[in-house]
Amino acid sequence: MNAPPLVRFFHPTKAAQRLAVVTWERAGEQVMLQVARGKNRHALVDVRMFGPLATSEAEAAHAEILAGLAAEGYVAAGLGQLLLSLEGKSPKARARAALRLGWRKERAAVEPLVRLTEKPREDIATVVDALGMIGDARAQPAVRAEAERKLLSRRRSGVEALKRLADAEGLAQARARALERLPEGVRAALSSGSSAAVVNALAEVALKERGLAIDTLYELDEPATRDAALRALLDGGAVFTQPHVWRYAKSVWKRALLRNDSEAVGRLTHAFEIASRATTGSTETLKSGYDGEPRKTRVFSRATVAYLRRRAWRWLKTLARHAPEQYALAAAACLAPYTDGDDVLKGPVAATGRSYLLHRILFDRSARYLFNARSLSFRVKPKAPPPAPGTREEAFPELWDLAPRAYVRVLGGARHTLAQRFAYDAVTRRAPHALQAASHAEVVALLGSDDQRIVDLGLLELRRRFDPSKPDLDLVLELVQSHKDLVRNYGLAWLSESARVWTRDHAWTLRFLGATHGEARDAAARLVSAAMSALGEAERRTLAAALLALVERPEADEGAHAGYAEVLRSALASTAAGMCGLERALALVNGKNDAAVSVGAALLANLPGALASLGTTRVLQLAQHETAAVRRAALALLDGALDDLRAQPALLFGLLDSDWEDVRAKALTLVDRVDLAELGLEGLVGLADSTRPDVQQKAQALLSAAIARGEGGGVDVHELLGRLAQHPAPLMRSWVVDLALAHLRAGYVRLAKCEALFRAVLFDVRPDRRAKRRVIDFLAERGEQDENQAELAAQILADVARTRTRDDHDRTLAALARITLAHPSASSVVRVVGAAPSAPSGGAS
Amino acid sequence: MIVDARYQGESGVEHGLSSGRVGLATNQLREATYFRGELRRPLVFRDAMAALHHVVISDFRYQPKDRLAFKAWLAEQDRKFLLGLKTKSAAAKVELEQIESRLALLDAAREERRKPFLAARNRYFEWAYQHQYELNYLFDPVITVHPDEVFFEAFSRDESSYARVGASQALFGHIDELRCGTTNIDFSVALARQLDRIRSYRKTAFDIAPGGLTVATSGAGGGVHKEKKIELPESWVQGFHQVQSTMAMALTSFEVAPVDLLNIIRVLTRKKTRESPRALRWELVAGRRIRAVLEPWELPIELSTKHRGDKDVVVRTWGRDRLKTLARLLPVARRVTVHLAGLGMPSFYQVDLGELSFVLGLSGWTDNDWSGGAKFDLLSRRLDATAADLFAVYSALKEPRFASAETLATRTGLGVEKTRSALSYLCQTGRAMIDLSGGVYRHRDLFTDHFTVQEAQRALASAVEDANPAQKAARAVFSSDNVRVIARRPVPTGFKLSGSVRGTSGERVRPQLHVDQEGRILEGSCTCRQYTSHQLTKGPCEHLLALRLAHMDKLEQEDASRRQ
Repeated sequence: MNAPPLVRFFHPTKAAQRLAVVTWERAGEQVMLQVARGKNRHALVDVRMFGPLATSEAEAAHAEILAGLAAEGYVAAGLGQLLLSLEGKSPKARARAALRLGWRKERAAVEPLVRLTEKPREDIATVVDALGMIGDARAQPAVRAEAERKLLSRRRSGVEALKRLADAEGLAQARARALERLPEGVRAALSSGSSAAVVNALAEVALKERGLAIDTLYELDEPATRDAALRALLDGGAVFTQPHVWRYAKSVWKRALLRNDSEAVGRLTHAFEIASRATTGSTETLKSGYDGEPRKTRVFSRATVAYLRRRAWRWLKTLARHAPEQYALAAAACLAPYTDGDDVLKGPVAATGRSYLLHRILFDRSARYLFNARSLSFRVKPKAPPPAPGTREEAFPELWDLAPRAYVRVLGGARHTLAQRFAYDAVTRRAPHALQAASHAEVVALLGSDDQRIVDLGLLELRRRFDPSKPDLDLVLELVQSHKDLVRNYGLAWLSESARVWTRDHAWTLRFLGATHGEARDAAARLVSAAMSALGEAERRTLAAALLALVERPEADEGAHAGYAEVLRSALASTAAGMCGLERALALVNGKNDAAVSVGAALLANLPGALASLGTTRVLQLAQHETAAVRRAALALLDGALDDLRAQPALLFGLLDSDWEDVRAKALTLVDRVDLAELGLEGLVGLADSTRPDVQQKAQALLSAAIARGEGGGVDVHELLGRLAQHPAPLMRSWVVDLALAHLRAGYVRLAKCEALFRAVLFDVRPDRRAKRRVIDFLAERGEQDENQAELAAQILADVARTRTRDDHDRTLAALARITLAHPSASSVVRVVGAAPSAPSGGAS
Repeated sequence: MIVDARYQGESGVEHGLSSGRVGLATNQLREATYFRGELRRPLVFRDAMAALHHVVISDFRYQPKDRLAFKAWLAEQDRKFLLGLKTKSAAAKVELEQIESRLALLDAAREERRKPFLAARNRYFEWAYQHQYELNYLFDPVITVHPDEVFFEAFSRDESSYARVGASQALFGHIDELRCGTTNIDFSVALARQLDRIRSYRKTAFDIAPGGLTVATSGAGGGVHKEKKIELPESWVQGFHQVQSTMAMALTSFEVAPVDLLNIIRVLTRKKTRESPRALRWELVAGRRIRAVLEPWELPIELSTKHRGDKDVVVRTWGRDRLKTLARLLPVARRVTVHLAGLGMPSFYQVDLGELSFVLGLSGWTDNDWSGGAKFDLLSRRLDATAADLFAVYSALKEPRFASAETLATRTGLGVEKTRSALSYLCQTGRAMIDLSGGVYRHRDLFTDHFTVQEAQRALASAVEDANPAQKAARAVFSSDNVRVIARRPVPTGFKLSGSVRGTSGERVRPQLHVDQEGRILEGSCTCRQYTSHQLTKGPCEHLLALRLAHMDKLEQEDASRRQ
């Protein structure tokens, strides 16, 4: 057995024998125990020896001695002094002692510390912090009282201590109070569970109240609220330098220290450090938290920021002393926010200059740097030799080796070249096993590095971990859900390689189909659909039932059910349709999310007798649904309703005028299969009246065919012209002009029916030149025929005679001249003074 | 300002084989207003509504190009260039080039593959934008039913154009029932498209009712309820008021033929320029044909009509592209009357469509919405009125729904001047409007709340005259006896004045003013800084207003001495 360490005891009252030291000394195979007492370690005058004892006897005797000393009133050395300090007059000394007791988790200190909270003292917040760190339930009443305080520093310490004490009731009360403090918009956004929503709501809050809201969110300590609080402080400019936010930013930072939230400490300290390079803060008149009086207060002062920077390093050192297993991971988190842009790397010698925390972590043991305590910066010593190979310059190297995963964290998270170099060297030289011991997420993080060597390291490790015959499906799931393309692409490839394994397992099938990334869901759905043919009917039914049940649930996020829906639609539609009736399918169609609606549509399309049950009218309504899948299903059903449509072709008009292109395209194919001649002129004009160019073209084709058939075509061309002349669409207009010029019979009445058409052509600001000229010539021709037509034609042409288009102007004047010559009595704007004109220009004025 | 609108049904047009029905759903949160009749000239109505829709959706403001993609491309080129500089080895350079070319091929292939997706996504974004725009921003036209006319009023999306479609009784073959009032109608892109299907060979019923076309469109699911919460900018409301103020001004008016407007619009459609100036310059020379000159090409378009006034006038107006919204009306228009307020000031185009009239009001320029700082109401003169006067005039107007100022003066016993002033206040609080085509005042409650004496008091208290700094300053200048009328000459149109005014800044300036018999400013000029910079486009300066106050004071003294 190893010898127990030397044990020191302290007696609070025995001045002459204040110190007692118990030692264990080996004498060959035997052991001698020694108890020495005295005033201090240099005056141990009362020495007693026990032994020689056999090792087994010595252990029992050692325990007996320790118990005896405790019975005499001795306590472990240090504790007593600390307890004594608690009773001192100096608040600073008391606070220091309380914190040390807290770190040491000395339960013996709970009572004295609680007693300290009974009177108002300056150091009370620190005392409460210490009580929280010790974590003894006896402190609950005192801590709860502090958590109810209005003053931020005491409330903060109280609530954070409650968390460490795991006081559920106290925490529930604190949470209720915190929610009350939040602005209404932020409180409402909390229900969404999304940090982005909370951040958006925070942006709406006035800056004056935003700080308190941010601190309260961090106090709530839920993933979304914590994330939102940090994003609100750190994203989009240094908002924490604002007068009403700064004190709350500091509060969040202090809470992070109390919680050992190293990521928050690192990010905030880094942000403060960087912002302090651009601003020295300001002096504002702010209301004091103590008495509510407005006072001139320094905001984001250089001294405060320097304190925070130093304090962050002190916190890391304290961790190293009292919780050594946490140090390396915390330091890794603190290194992560630094980038090369934060400092200048000068030459071959690593220099971190003003990045205080980073330098402390990476080079605290180095002898190459000089420290400037005023500016908290480092510079390289003149003529300092480069470090010898293998020299470890980082602080607490033994603690890094104690937690080699921290190196992997640095590799995955750090963006500063020096930090990356430090971790890379460690992982490749000293701790190659660190990568193997790291979690999937930690290895995956390496693939996001901007250093190709680190990415390669990560890929190598991932390849080592993946075996297609015995795939680690947890790893595959982790990879396919990554938001980084490179990582996800590896995941997708391995998902495909391992499909044979997981598609046979329903649980894994559902997990992959429900992956959080859309690409993963799509890929999984494709693979599952392809594998469906290999499954038996019973298995297909089981899977379909499970997927239907999932699709019917509300989606946690938009698109979360897309994978399930895709498999149901593409591979299991008929199986699922056989398992559910029309009611269930319609319920899905009316569902709240796209996945449910599309599955409902697929079921409708596969349900035997759906058309008969729904009826043609209802199917026509579904054909106008805003979801394409429902429209597709309804349009497919319409193929079976041809008899109904033939009986009532007008039913198609709704589809032909639909806003949806796919519906109109289908309706046009149905027009070919349903004889619209049944409706005669009315039907064809109804079709032509559409405002859609594709339908208008179809109508033109049908009308041309009908006209070509002659009188038997069932279309009265003149009636048709009278109607189509009113069409406002340019596409139809030019076609109708051609029709009119070819078929319009002589006579005033027929010409007058087309007046709107001619005017529309002539007054078009984007004219069809050919149509316009033909109309002018046509009007001239008809004007020459009789007086009534001359009057009408002259009137139309006169209105447009002053056109600035020279050719039209000349042509119009010539036309008017021809009409005037033929019928001088017709009112005209031109007067013919010469001989008969020769078209297009003539001697008119 | 958030304005709520609730529709029991949707507006729409029903097209049968031999008959159709235009059903406009009215806002249920407003007073019950309905109209049921049959359109006698549906095509004119169709084209007028199409033009109104064109105005409503038009936005002629400058739209900067989206250069994000270009900037990304530029950054990528920079990156490649720097990479090239860093790469020293020739072999590495060759390899890099190969990789780049391979990448380019892959990118092209990816673009090709994504094309349908991107096109579909764009279509979806357009649909979503339009849908959301209609629900949140598109303020539905205001419709007012009066015994002699049904009229629609609306502003463009950029708030720089105002349109009013007035349908007289003659447009309707018969009217089955009506209830006078003002409300909003559900107006959407879909409705505009449906209106295009109106034809004269189908009997077309015209219904303004709460349900709109509900009966026809609702299926088994029952009625359609539509609620809108419009973020109505304050400027929109101000715009309505400013339109009324401008209409009350002394305007230079002349008629043009539809083909003249066609000539202008056609040039604007075919020719584009980025050079300034881009004004439409109206040149009115006594006894000669009016000319519209398009800058900067100095392209003159001689109109069909001659200037009948005895004084030459040149007015430049900006934002001429907005005239394109009238294109649809040209084939059916009988004549167009142009009303000009002055250089860079609003203008009105009143299109006579027979039984229908269409008024397009354009602000001074496109980026200047109707409320954009201009205080045209200051150009008109108002006497002090009490809340009781306002209420009396409002009540007298509400019953017949429309009347001339003289008729109302007789009815209220307030006198024409005071009635005009009261009407001016009512117009500016959205309680009445000026009908440019009919030359009468019409009752029209712009919003849902009822007019009360308290509101009348508020209207007087917050009237622009008091709130406007120029008017306040003018009163102060006049009270401190810093206005001297140098010359005051009666002319057939009113008075021409010249004076010397020491303004609030202490500087002495020389304003010159031409006011009509009623004290409205017809023309004005001043040597002050404001006039030099903006002329009258931001309303008259304090010096012009102070000179007018001095003139009105003299008029009152003369009236008093005459009465003695």
